[in-house]
Amino acid sequence: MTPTGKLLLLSGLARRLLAAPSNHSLAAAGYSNSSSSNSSDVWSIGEGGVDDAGAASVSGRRGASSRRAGFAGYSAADVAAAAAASNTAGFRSLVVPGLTKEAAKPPLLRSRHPLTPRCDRMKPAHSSWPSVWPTARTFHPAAVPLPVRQGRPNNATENAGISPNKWGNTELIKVPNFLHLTPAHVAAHCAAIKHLCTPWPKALDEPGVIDKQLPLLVVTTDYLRSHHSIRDIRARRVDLSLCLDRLVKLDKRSLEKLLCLVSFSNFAKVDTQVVGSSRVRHLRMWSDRCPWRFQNYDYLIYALSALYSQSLRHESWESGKAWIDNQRYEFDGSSSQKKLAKLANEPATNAVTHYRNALIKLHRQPENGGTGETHDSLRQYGRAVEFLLGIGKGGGGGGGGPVKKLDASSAQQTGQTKRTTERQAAS
Amino acid sequence: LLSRSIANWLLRRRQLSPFGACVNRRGGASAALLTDESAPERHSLDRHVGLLYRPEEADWQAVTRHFCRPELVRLFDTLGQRALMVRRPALEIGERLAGHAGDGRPCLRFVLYGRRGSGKSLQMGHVAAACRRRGWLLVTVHNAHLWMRHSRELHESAHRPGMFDTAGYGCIWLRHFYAMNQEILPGLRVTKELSWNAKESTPAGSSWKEVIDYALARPRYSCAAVQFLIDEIKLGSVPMPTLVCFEVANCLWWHRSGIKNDAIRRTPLQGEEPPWRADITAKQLTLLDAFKQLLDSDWNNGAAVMSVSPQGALFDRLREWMPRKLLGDEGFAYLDPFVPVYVEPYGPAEMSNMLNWYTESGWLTSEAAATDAGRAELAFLSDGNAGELLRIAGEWVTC
Repeated sequence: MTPTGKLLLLSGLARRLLAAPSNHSLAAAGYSNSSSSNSSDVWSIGEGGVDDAGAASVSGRRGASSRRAGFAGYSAADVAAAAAASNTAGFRSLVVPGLTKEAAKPPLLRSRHPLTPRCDRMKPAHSSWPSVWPTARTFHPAAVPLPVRQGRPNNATENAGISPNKWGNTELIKVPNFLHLTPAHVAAHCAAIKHLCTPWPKALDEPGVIDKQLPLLVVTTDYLRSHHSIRDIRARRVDLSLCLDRLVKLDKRSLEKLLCLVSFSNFAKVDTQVVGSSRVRHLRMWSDRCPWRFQNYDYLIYALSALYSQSLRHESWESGKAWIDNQRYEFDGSSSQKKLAKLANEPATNAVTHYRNALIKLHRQPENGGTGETHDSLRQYGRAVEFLLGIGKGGGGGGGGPVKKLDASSAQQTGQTKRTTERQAAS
Repeated sequence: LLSRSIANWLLRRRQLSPFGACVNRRGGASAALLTDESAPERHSLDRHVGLLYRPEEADWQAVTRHFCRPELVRLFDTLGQRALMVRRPALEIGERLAGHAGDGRPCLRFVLYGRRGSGKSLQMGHVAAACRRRGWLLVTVHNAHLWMRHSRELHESAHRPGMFDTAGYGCIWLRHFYAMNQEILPGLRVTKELSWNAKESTPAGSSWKEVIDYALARPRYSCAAVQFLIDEIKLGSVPMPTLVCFEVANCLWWHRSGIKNDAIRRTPLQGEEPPWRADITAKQLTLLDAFKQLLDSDWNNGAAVMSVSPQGALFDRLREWMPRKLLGDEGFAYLDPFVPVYVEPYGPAEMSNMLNWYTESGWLTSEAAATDAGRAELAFLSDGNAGELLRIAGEWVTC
């Protein structure tokens, strides 16, 4: 073999050995081989040449995570074709890589034109977002036309110190997105089911009608959470509200029993609103003791039923109720009423009425009809006492006479057994 | 004739005008308004409200001094002069009591309430001084809440089994009672025989002074002596009306105290369990229970004026000062029916009068206190509270 031939052989061998295998996976992903238009560059790295007219080089529009280069390579068939093309006189022509200009050959594989991602081709005027993203799906950067970023670089050198973009961003994939629930989606859903709906009853718009027709108010809350878990423990709580006037068959005694039972519980209370001269009472209950919302709702319905049915029942031992068990202050049976009997002079009826009213106003809280302890109620009480006892500016000489005689049985000290209870005659 | 009619006209004008009783030592807007009426029972609602008066020495030493805070007593000693303000609550109570003397009148109860430092005790002192001048017997208790915090010679009671005597406080109170009623006591006689124990007794007809002397000599029986005297009052053997003044009355119904029931060092008897450390409350102290009996309404010819204060809520830092909350259900039911009297903060006239007096007497020495802005600041800082004003005024010194 001639040295030239050896050189050729070697070069051919070299070419063969160093020929890049066609990377099928890369090709399938759209990474194209270098086109043969740049055939002078055998090892041409870089731009997958694009044949599309007018389409710019793609690599410039791809971001920092650059694509792998299309690896230029020749297969054995390429070499044979090139040799055959240049072999005019039966001699093999010298093909020096990098120097010999060769005719362009058509690529064997149809080059996958790297397309612009869908997000860059979308035009707002023509595209409908619900049709792009009809249901809940994992975030896909090519489909979402938003330049979102998520994440934080550890230092200024990582990713040039800026948050990573959406391409290949696992954080964006992990968190839930609501791209399937935009206003356009909601409008489309509503339009789809509107034919199944009935119109809102106009009568319910009048004030008070809803409370009358739908007395039970159930309040639940949903929470949005920006956290690795979207669950919120507070979402299990259910609040229930009911106007007590709507509970039928509740007479005075049953209502008192219900108020007493509610005062024992730590998940129910009765709110009283004084509206003018009338009182509106609401029973409010809440539950978050069960892990799930529907369980809490069921529990509240059960508790309400139990409360109602138990207040309607009257046990025999309830007749042993004492004055101190009253839900609100009652004058009848109180020690103040008993003390009136100890006054020697029978007080006038209107004096007793004033006294009674003043005591009720002083002791009862506003939700029970009184005012509680205020300067006004204390002053009124003082005036009533002065009127009762006959002191003060009004009744200077009047009532409040001598106290009844103490008899032996009402001796105050138990230890004074040797004393005889006798009184000096009043002078 | 003309001059006499003019003089009469001037006198009547002075008598009828609201500040006609006022005697200014020097004129001007910044003068303290004093009255020369030093007799508390002659103060009237029409003429003397808002004026300062100088209590007489006898009144002060016997009565009023005990109702003042130690700071106020020291202030008066420092300044060398005393001036107390005549205010509406005391005059209203005094008016009710004026017509109340005489047998056959049940015990009236008045409860003074107001913020701490508003002047409840001083109002009680005014009423007490007025009644003393009218010849009433005074029974005053100032330290009930302190009696419940510490025990002084505590021992089991003999005259009331199951309860405890505080002999030390009994002796102190008897001495104080004697000093307050020195003119009246020699005329009082005990109507029945008082037996101290199986062997010793005081016969009926002996004077109250003998009873007190006996108890002071034998401190063990001081609480029994107090109980006997109170029984005498309730029976009506005292010819003159009685005024009971009780400061911090709500401690009588308080559930806590500073005295534990193992303060008595004794070994438990055979078969008896050692007592666990419970509080000895006012219900179990004979001295306090005796005074509580005087606050009841079942005796004649007397009146009781008491005050309620958060100080009586031992070991519980209450911010409440309304009577029903402090007395509780039990205390209110016991005292019902009573007349609540509110001791309100200083009004503008009272405040300015007080500031004038402080400035004149030399307590407020700061130059800023003479300016309008300074006085407004003092009024704001103290919020009308008399005790606060006293304390804050003492802090405003010329530096």
